[in-house]
Amino acid sequence: MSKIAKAFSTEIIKSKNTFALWLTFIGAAIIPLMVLITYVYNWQLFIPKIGENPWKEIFIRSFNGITLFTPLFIILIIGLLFNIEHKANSWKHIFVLPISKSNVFVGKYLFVFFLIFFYFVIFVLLTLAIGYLLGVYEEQLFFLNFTPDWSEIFSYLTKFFTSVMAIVGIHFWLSFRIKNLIANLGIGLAGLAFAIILNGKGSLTLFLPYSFPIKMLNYESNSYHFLEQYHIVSLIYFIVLSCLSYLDFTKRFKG
Amino acid sequence: MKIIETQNLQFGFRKDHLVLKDINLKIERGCIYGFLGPNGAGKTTTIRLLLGLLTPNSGNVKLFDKPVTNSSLETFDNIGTMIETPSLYEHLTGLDNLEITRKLKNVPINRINKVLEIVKLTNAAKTKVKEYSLGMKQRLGLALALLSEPQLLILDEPTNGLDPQGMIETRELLHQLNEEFGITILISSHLLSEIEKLVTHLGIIKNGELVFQGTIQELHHLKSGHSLIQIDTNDNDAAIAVLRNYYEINFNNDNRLEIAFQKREQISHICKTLVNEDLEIYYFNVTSNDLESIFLNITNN
Repeated sequence: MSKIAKAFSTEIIKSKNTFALWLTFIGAAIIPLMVLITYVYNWQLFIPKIGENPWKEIFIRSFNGITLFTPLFIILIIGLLFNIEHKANSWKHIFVLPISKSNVFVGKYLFVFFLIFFYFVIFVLLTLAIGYLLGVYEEQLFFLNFTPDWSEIFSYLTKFFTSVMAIVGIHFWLSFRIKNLIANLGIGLAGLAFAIILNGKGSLTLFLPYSFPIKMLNYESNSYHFLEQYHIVSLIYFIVLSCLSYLDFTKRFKG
Repeated sequence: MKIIETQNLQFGFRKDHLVLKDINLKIERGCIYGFLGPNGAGKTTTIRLLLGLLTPNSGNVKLFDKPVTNSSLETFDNIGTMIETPSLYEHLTGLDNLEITRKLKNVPINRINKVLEIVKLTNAAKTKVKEYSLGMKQRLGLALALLSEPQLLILDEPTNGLDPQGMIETRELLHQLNEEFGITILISSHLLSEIEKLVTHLGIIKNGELVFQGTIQELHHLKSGHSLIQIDTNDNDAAIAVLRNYYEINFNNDNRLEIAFQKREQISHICKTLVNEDLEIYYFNVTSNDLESIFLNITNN
């Protein structure tokens, strides 16, 4: 097993019995559950027009929900994962084990992405399950007569994931440098609050990383380009911040 | 062969204030080296420098004759460490904690049972660490350090917070590891009494400077120089006259004679000399400084 795979597998052990793991399940389930409640109580409002695919509406509503919730989930999950190390005061132990800092860094980054990916998978599966459940609950919603547009779902998730990568880069760096979980959360919440005030509009939102996912509320795809300008900026932020935090972690960070 | 060697190691958290000055540690293979000093003297900082967890301002560190860098991974394979409190994930079981280190150290899985046996934690292996007592946590920390059958153990105040029984058990365990497996041990402490029965060599650090380094016998020798006999006779002038050919004599605050001695045979010699001179001895008191006093004398100038 390669050293990175070993570092990754130890991350799985460390996350056992932690809130981080529960947060991934609960966080992914929360929006589909809210959508379910909304549909059950107001199902008459969601009866599709003749020939209209009801899956489009349910996924737009679910996507809008995770658009607001996911940045918070990412900030929390990264903070919690690093808090496991800070709480155990374990850097001084890890850094004298025969594994390079690079492998530790990459192993942790991969685990963060694994959890985010897992979160999206659970979210999509639950939204799907809820759609079928609603189809059984009320035939007039026509969920059983149509299938979801998977290419649209995959395209949205890819773009949305790209839009949150800048936040991943920022908080991955902050979380190993700032030991206080509340401070990390505070910075993230302040950024998100600012982004919500800007509401995805104006030139500033093109550079404020917390704005990128907000820009994807009620998203309609651009027929000319797969990725919007802010997706590209998010990717650039992610690459630059990851490189800098990698150098900081491997060269300067002593735990 | 020197397992640990530092040359003129200097370190400061601020550029204008050095907390370690010219530390020259020399630790031979197979010894148990006690690293002593009062709290805040620089023991943990020195240990962190040894392991590359801090970067020295100047000087260098060699472990197993190789310079320590961030990429000394091969060297770290041969070292077990416990710095200050053990680094334990309290939400996990003892077994999980060992498994994490085992994977990263690439150690066979059966080694876990072996180290649990050594530190007597087999029955508590599946209990969450947050339910462990302080002594059990220290022992689990030791188990983590022992996982890869290290040639060198670096333990920073491993008996901190342990009750006397726990201290004795840890001492016995370290003795056994040194005797049976030939593991070189560097153990830091702020109490000489805690480790004097265990160590073969000593380094004493005070205000960031190494003020003594040598074998425990050398410290005992220093102890002899600090042992005194206090005497009062019916004629102290006559006593001085007969003894000054052999010893240096001073007066103490009570106007008694005070003679420093090296060997216990000298006590008998002084006694006989005074009796042979028909002097009446009213007071004869031997004060032998123990190692703790020597340590305190060294660290308090």
